[in-house]
Amino acid sequence: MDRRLFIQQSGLASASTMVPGFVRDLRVPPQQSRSGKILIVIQLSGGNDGLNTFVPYREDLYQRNRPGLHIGPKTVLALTDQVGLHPALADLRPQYDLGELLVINSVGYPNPTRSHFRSMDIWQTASHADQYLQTGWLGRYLDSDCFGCDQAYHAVEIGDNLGLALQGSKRDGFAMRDGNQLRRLTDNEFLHTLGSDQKRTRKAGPNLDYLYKTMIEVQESADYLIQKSKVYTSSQSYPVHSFGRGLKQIAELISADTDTRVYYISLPGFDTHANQFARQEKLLRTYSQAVAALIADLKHNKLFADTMIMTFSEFGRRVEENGSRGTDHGTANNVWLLSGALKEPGFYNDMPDLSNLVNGDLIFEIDFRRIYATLLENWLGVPPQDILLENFAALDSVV
Amino acid sequence: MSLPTKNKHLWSRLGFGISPLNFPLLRDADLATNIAMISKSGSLNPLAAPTSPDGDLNPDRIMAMSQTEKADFFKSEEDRLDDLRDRWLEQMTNRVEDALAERMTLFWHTHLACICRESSVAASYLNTIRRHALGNFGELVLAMAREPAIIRFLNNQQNRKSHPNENFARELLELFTLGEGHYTEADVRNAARAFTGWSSGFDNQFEFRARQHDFGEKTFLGSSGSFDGDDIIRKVLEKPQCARFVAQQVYRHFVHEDPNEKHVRELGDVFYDSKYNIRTMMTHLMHTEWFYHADNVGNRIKSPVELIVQTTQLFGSTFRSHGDRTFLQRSLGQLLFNPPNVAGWPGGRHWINNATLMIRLNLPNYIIKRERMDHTVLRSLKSEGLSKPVQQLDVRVNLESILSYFRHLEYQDLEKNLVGALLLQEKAPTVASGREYKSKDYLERLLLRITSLPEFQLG
Repeated sequence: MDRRLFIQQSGLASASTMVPGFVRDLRVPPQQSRSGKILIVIQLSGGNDGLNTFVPYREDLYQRNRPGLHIGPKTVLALTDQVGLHPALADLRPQYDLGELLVINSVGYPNPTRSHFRSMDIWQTASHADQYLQTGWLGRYLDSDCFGCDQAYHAVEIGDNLGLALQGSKRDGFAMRDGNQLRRLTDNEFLHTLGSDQKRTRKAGPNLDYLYKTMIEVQESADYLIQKSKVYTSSQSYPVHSFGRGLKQIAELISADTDTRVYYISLPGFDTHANQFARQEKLLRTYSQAVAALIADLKHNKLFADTMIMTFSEFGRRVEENGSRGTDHGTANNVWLLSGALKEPGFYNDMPDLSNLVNGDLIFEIDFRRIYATLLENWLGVPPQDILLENFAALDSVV
Repeated sequence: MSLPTKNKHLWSRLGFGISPLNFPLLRDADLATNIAMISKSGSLNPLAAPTSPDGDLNPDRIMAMSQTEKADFFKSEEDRLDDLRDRWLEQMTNRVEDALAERMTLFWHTHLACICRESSVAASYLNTIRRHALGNFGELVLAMAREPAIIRFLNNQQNRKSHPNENFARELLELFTLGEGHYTEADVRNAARAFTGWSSGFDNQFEFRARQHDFGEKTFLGSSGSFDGDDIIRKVLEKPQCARFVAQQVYRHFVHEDPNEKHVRELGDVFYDSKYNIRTMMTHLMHTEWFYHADNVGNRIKSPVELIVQTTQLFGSTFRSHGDRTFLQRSLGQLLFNPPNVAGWPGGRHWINNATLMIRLNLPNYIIKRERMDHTVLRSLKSEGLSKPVQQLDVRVNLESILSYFRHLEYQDLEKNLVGALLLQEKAPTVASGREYKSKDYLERLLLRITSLPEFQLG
């Protein structure tokens, strides 16, 4: 059935009738993103081995550094005569062929740290290596008074907890695993009554006012998101895995015209110090099956040209494999974008130079904050400088 | 029986709030008596280090492990850390006579923040803080610079004469003592040189490695000499700015997020004049008028640990499952020994987002009624990551220890009295309807609802 028809039949045709009353009071015109674009950020936690994701399968140095772990010409899914895909990414092969994939190599930042948590914080807050920020880059995007940002669900993290990336100082993103979990979290009759009774009462003290305002916003946003999550049911087959369920949730919310512009989701487990082969393969298979299903859903509803999917990890891995059939923490890594709106898909830059390493690690070439700047400026349509706290040049010809 | 606001404020900020243990004192005694009681708090007993079946483990032994052994080790270390966290929380919960020292310990853990992954060094770090919690700040910092947990967390292991690592020296100046803008980059470099060779050895003890130490001359904060780490800390303590900076952090934590410059200066001067006596500064704070000013009362968002401790006391809760309190700390965003970074937990509104707020407001339901939670938390970025969803807390409660103080009252007075006891705000929304008087569990219902109010999140 046609998506529009679905939406009409479920009585949710007009977004403005669905806007919770409390929120509507505070807002100016009805919702429509100025750019109409949607960003999905996928975080591969633990440090994905980028060299075994987009594989320089013919390179001598690659094979020599990875005697037990390299993916050879026979098994790799060759994209060019130099670079191939990890075989577990087969489901995303069509995206490369259709010009819907852009790989950016050697992404990182100066003085890289090899601590998972610290490096993840740096990626999430867009800080320097020696700087501690208490807000995330997407949180500051929400703080920037972007169009529609005053909605608590403008940015949604799929999960039970809200990570640093979506925490701002004025505004936060919204965490939800699924409709049922959200219902359970907000299903408290006493608090619901309290919320509707106290809606118009300004509280003494700024923090008390803030707590009430947040509580009421959460209750009303939850009602909205729970209803939206029921509008559209995907017919694609997603892997049976929390990540698969998460992407299905995203596909369904986007297809229901939810006024959410940013989605954030993680797939953990990439810290492959040992037995990397089986572990990375399993994770990348889950990743590619889920993402392929998401793209199919979006294409079915003609939304892929309005959607950008960015995938990153907090660091790459050491070029040389270790003694346990694994790899240790590295530095620079690839980041890739999937969208129906890429200007010059393929490879943004050359594969990393394996003959030029620092302490056995790749040298970064593109600061990750330039990718953020590109997405903010050219995709979400907001000036990136205040959000990234300094001027990072957007990448040319991405979107 | 609205308890005197100043008493409530005092215990809320410098202890863990109202509980059956301090209820009579809060209700019947004047402020002076309460101040006398709370500041009697002595020095704290050390907590026993968790024992590992494999004996003591040190970085070298860990380095020598295979990947699988290492993974198993850190997994069992997580259990031992949980055990230490539980025992720490029990001290905060049960020892109301030492509430002030326990609150200070929690404060120092935020101020001298350290992520600990090994239980024995975590215990040592914690015990050093507990020993000095109300003692002398200078001694506390001198001891911290020798704590293996701090040395490892801030890379002082790698601070060698040939290649100084500035991490510890920088954080010492920026976050622990002077604050940004009160030293130069050259000061950082020279301080780092003075701490070269300050390392920790096999036995998880401080170890001075003379061969890695730079005995040369250093210039630091305007004077020169062949300073070592202790000299650097003494030079820092000589600066009134150090007392002022720490006083400002104390003010932000215990009084108001936005520091009042005049009050901070007053507190800093007292601290400096007392030669960094922490008890003197805190006692002074309790005796100021401004501490009790209306702007400073009932407007501070309780930290997750404070909330867990107070709720545990208030409901007479016994947690029966080992990991439940760790789970709550993680889902509310404050896991002991695991601050987000060396700057500690930012606090205030940073505690609040849609998920944490709803868990906070539902907490009485989860504890008293053992309602279904269905929440998962991220355990680590390394493994598969997510915990099993905790469906229900395994906890027993004893509400009678607090409710017995109210049983003799008339029905129509109960709500007002409970609000007056549990909240700092003068007004609160009505939580029960007149028809509910008759229900048998009326008092329990009131307790549950009042502690579910957003007002209860503030102390």
